[in-house]
Amino acid sequence: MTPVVLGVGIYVAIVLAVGLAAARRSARDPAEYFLAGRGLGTFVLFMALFGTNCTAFVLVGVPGQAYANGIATFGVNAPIVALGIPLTFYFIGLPARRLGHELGALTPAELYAKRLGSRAVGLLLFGVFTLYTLPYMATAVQGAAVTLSTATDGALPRWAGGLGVLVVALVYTSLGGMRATAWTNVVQGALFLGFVLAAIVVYTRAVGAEYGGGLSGAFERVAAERPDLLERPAGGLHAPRAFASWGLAISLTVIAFPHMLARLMAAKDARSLRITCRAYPIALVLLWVPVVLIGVFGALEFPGLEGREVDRVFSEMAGRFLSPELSVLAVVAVLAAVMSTLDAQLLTLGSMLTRDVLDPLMPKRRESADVLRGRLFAVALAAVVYGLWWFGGASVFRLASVAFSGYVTLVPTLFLGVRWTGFTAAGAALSILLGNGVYFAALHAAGGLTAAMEPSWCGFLPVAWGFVAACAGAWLGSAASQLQRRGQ
Amino acid sequence: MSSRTRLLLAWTGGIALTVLHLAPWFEPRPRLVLGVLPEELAYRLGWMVLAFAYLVWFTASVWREEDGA
Repeated sequence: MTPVVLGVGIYVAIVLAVGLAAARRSARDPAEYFLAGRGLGTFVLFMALFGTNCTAFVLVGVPGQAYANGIATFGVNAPIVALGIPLTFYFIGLPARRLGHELGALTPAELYAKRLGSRAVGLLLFGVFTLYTLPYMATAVQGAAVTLSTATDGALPRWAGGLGVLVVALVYTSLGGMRATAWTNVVQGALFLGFVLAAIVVYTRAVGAEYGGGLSGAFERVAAERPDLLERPAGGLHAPRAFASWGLAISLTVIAFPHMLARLMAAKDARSLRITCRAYPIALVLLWVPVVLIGVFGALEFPGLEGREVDRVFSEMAGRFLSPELSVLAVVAVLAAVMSTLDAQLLTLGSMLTRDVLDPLMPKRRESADVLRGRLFAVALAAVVYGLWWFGGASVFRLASVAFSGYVTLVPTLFLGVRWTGFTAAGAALSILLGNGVYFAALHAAGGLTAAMEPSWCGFLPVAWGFVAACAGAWLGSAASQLQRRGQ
Repeated sequence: MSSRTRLLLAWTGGIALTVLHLAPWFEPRPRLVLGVLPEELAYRLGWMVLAFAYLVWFTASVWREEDGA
């Protein structure tokens, strides 16, 4: 048995055991299964949010970006997120948690449908959430499949690796619902954060050895050999308007992930959420500084990677500098990052199918059977994701990059729906439709589905136009329905 | 401090942090600050320290517990 198979086997055994333990603690009612009985305490809540938020892209894609664009990759992503995410937790997550409890809502779409008194809004939200989340899940399966196939030198084919990751995530999610996914996220978050911190210590020592060692030695080598990596690139996301638009996208999009909002609704109390907001920037620094440095140091050690090849820098660095044990941990860390997001997405989309789609179709159904329905829907979703990944080809990955910014068009509805009593169902519907319509038009102007991070009208990214249109739609729709009410 | 003053401070702090993040005047040079950190990284980490202090103050002073109680 190779070390990789053994390491992955131990990891799978641990997450399944944690899922089983969570299942024994869980009652059988829908609130327990979908939201852990609204009882996630501070530590588990924080790790569940952080683990869900951080995908394999952060471990593998960000070093690739840093390889190409240098240390400025940190500034374009991490700082504004460290401020934006906690603030959105306060402005949207906090009242969403309270209102979810008051209205008996178990999913984000159900919360807004009940709050605005409109099933149509719930269905519309469900539709957009699903449209944007499914491609995301397919890319996660791709990341896991490639990692496993590469780590086993092709012994584990991609189809089997992708299937295995989906099945394991599905099993522990179905066993214990939200509690199982949150508890496993604690293990997974600790694994990938622990790995990057251990790995960067090893890399820094090795890369800086010729210049006296340590962090200063490593950076002195970068300054001497590749000073361009310490400067800010002139174009792309670093152009002023693109930089501002990207800051808007990356700081607002996370709250609009339905699986993140569902976790916020599962918080035990407001205090847990408050402490989570304070801890978030610290965790982001601990994760993002190492992953960016892996790419920068990798550019010295493995020059000449181009295009999609830059994403190889994570595995190349691990292969050259890490001990066999830490190399195995690198594979497990990527799997942990993939599964910590995938499980939450399976659970939340399954819960929305159960609560938001079935409600209009089966208004008199037995709610006690919703847990079973949620499990069955999760199985069906996993099958759809697998099919989308296997047959969707490159278009799925284009859609995933569109989705990341597209979620931002939902933020005005998510915010005003819990903070403004004058906000109406018409406002929500117009906001979502107009926001997405303008977003796709701006995408088209920027160059199509591959251009989510390319400048559109006036140099701003498509996401900025989608967000402005969604805000305008929210106000126009609400004002129109209020005027109509006054006229009656 | 009245709640109005706290709100004013919260908005001012948020806008100031946004301007400092966008920092159109800042052109990092390829040199190390104190011989350890690149200028760009040092600036961003310094900004994050400010953002963290702001969040601690915000969650202590502006955060209305009744929003999520």
